[in-house]
Amino acid sequence: MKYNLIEPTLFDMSFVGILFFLVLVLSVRERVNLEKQLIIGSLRTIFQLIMIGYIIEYIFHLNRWYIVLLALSFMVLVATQTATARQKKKIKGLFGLMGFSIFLGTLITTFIVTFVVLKIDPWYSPVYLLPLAGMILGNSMNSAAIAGERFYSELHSRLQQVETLLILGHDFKFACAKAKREAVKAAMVPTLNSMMTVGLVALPGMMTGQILAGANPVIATKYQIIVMLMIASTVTTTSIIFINLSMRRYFSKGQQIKMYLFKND
Amino acid sequence: MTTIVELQNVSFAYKKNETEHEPLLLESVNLSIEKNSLVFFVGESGAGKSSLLRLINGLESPISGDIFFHGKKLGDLDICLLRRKISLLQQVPIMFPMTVEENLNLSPGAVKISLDEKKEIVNALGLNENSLGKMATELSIGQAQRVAFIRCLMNQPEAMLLDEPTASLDKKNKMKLFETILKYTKENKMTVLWVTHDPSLIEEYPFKKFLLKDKGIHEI
Repeated sequence: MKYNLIEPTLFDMSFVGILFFLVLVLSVRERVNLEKQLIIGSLRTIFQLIMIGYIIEYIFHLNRWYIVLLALSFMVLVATQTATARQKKKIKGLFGLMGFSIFLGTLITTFIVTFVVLKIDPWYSPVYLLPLAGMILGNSMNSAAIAGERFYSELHSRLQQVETLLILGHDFKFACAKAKREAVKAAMVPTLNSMMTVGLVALPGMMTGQILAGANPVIATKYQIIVMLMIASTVTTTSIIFINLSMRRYFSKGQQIKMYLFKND
Repeated sequence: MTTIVELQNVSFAYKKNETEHEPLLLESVNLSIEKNSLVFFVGESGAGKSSLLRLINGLESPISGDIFFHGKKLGDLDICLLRRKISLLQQVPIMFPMTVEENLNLSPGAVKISLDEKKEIVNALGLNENSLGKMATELSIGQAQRVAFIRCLMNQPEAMLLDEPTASLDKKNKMKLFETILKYTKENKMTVLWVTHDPSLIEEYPFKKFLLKDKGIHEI
């Protein structure tokens, strides 16, 4: 069977506006009051995606390792900023800790996927590296943000228990082990859920994209398996790295809880 | 007599944030506690009684001055080991949602204590040894406070810091627990620093008493 890619024209694309109009009407009718955000969101989607489409095309065309690394660095920076902004408690050095965790979590998985599994050549091949690293990065960012938020709220709700364990003579790592476990679990659950139902309810985005673009479904499946496992890997490593690095910021050197961090919350 | 705990010119205030402090609670305080002694600390609420015990337990650090344990600065000691040797019993017992025995085993020192010894201590503190298998969260406050006290004992501490352990009990249970702890610590020759806001509880006992007032500690 031959696969032909249908390329929608701008005129064709304008009919997607029907869907947007439907969303807008429903939002007004049901008084969801999100019209402004919907319009801004849609405009941003169109602008950002068109822009990134051209940028990626240009990077593919240049095919230079330093341009690829520059693009990846920018992506890490934006992911770090986004995950940092989502943290309710701005602990000291949060941006640096977040950046390092996302960078390391992404690096480990990207290295294994691109160099060990796919063996891409050249090593910086933007066609592979950018979309794969982008996917890994996005999941890394989300997991760090979820884990950080959850760790703080777990610690907050268990303050007395944590302090009791310190009083009994445990160190802070032992005292907040339960909060850490819950935070890592919370970061992993969305990925685990999607691993359980993948392919049964809906085909994942990457696989759908590849099939629409004319790829053999079996090859698309192989890629999707790699993607699912790389997401699981990055979610786990990033959340563990971030919690391990940030947990000590809630305690002073003398194994004391910095109680003032939990005031007014 | 040897000194077990000493405070030299200690000033303390809780931290507001990374750099600022709340108003001073204790100012240039000096205190010396002899080994195997039992002393009471009284004072109005907010006078700094609990803070004093938290300082000695290393849960807070003084703004200025030094605290010594057996002549060594707290900052130079392994704080986890120190907390096992000088154990703090909090005002409200914090029980974990597990059995009493598992709660006792949360103390790092519990591994060195056999089940028979645990039963012996449980009996001595007025609890039935069958209660070891009970869920700790289902205990009354009085029972939970006894379990919390026994949990401290699992570390075989040299000294106990008691932060109004009877405060949340009614009068009858208050006296019972007070006498039980007093008897146990005396029999085992423990150093005890006992905070209470209820002077009537201690007036008949011939032990050293300190009053915390106006950011200072005064012997009475």
